[in-house]
Amino acid sequence: MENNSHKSKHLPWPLLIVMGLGGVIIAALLVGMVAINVRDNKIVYVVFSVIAIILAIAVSRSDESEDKEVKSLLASYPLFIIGFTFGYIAGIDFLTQTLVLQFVVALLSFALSKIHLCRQMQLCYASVVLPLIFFSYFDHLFSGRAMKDGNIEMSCFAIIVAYMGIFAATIKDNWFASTAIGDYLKTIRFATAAVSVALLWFIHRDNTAFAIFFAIISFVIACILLRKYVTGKRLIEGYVLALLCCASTAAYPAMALPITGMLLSFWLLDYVCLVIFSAAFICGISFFYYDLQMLLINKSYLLMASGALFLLAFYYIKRVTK
Amino acid sequence: MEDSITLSGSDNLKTADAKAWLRFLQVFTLTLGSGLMLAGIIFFFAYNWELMHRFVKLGIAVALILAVFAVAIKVKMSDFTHKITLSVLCGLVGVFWAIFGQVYQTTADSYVFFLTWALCILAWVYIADFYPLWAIFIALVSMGVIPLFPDNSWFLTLLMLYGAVWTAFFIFAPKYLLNLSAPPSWFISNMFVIEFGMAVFVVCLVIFRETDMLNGGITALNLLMALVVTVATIWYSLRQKNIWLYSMLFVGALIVLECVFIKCLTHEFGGLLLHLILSTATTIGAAFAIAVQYQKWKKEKSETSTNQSVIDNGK
Repeated sequence: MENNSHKSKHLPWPLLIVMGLGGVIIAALLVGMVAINVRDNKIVYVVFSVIAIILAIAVSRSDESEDKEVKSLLASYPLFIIGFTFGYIAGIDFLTQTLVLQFVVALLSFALSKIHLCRQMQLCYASVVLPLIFFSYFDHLFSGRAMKDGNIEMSCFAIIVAYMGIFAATIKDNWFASTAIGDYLKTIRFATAAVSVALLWFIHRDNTAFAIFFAIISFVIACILLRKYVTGKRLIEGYVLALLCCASTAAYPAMALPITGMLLSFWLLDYVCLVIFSAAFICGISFFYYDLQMLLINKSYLLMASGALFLLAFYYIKRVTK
Repeated sequence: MEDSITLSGSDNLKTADAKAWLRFLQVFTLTLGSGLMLAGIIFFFAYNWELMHRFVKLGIAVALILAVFAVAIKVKMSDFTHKITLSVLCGLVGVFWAIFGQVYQTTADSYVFFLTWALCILAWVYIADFYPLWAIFIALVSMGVIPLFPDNSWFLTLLMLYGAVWTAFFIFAPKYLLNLSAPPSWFISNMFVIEFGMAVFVVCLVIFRETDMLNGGITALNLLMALVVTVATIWYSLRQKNIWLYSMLFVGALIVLECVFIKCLTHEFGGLLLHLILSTATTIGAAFAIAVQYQKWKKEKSETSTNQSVIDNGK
């Protein structure tokens, strides 16, 4: 679990809002000032970007005492924004390479910075930039045709699998205890969950391979839990129930991933991620019934039947655990 | 092998144990089952809606209202569940009026619908004494009343006055109305934030549209009202030691100052540099003021709670 006792935990949310708003204004003004004078001279943007990021890291390393955190944050936060924005402007013609560089810089800044909030932002930024690299590589960052591209779908599939793997790995928090990310497991989970759910939009609704893959993962998780807590005849019944539930999600990718996420989030008692995956599941199940090619009256019978099945499952669970 | 489900799981404290999983499964299956069932029933009626007689349509809504009312009266439940039931009842009244409007094609304006709905549920809202329900009630009344305001330069002053009346009602009415409990902090804070947000919006509007608004006393009146709202927000945040509201004051000030800077300073290098210096100074000042006040109030609160525990132990 996340241990952020040394830094921003003590800063109240309203203060972060004021600093966030002020930081964005300061960064925007600085970018504007440079842009007015430099115009299209990319080298200057590169130089400013490097200087801003080095300064930001230096500022965020210098003050470790709690009372100086506000001061350090006020300087480092706008500097990071400026650094990344200038970097982006400088490399707009070589977008994929620029994004790769930004990803590396974000990870480096995370490793070198000492302010908790800055490090959280770097992690979140890195997790967002990674899929953008693929989008840019396949030339769909601004085209709006990404939904139809098989390469984008495959990339999203791979990233979601990787992110969910990282999410699941945080169960073993002792693996990370001695590393730099030991204190940021909650942030990693939040970023990976949010990005995975967002990337689900690019997975086609008939991508059965994706759905089956995550349905199997869900079933494996359910089996591990059942073996841990249930024995005897009830174990077989539990396996059958889990198989039925997971098999039903194998029909639709937008249901399969959220179920896996919900199981993992609840396992870790991470309620923020549970809310993210639950919201995705509600959207997924709504789209599933909306997409069904049948009359509204037949949909209503199907909905009532599936509702009755889940209510039966509820009474069954209640009865066997009395 | 014995059939069993171990409820005393050996998990460490950081992960869900068997009891938590059981609760999760129960909540998940119950929520999903009832949600799907309810959706199925709604779709069923939706499919057959055109075929139903208008009395059947209204009858369904009335039957639901009566059923929920009977549950609220007869069934023993916790205070919170009772309040939720009354909230559902208030929602069903809206459903009834919507069906009524559709069946008889009343061609009434939407604000009449919201006002009728709000008036019909007033007694239940008062009895429930449930602030989320009060928030919905205010939204309904606002959707009914605000369209009636004249669409001229007085509109913003009236809007602020309207918000101020509601805020004053919830601050002072609990002292005089027996059934009305004191509003929770989140409720009154949000009332003030909305009210103060309107005041900030008015000031920004005056800054950017001075040619339209500088006619006679209307601008002065708008600014005066904004000033009254700001003073009231400052007074309340200091009195309640509410750091959220206190910080929102600085957010508002930052927004107003930015509007002034954008309006007054040139968009060339010198202007931007001055803008940058002023914005940086404002942000730093605001952040430090909040940080200092936060530490001060936190210290006072901890001292108060320590003194209280000493008094309690003495008893």
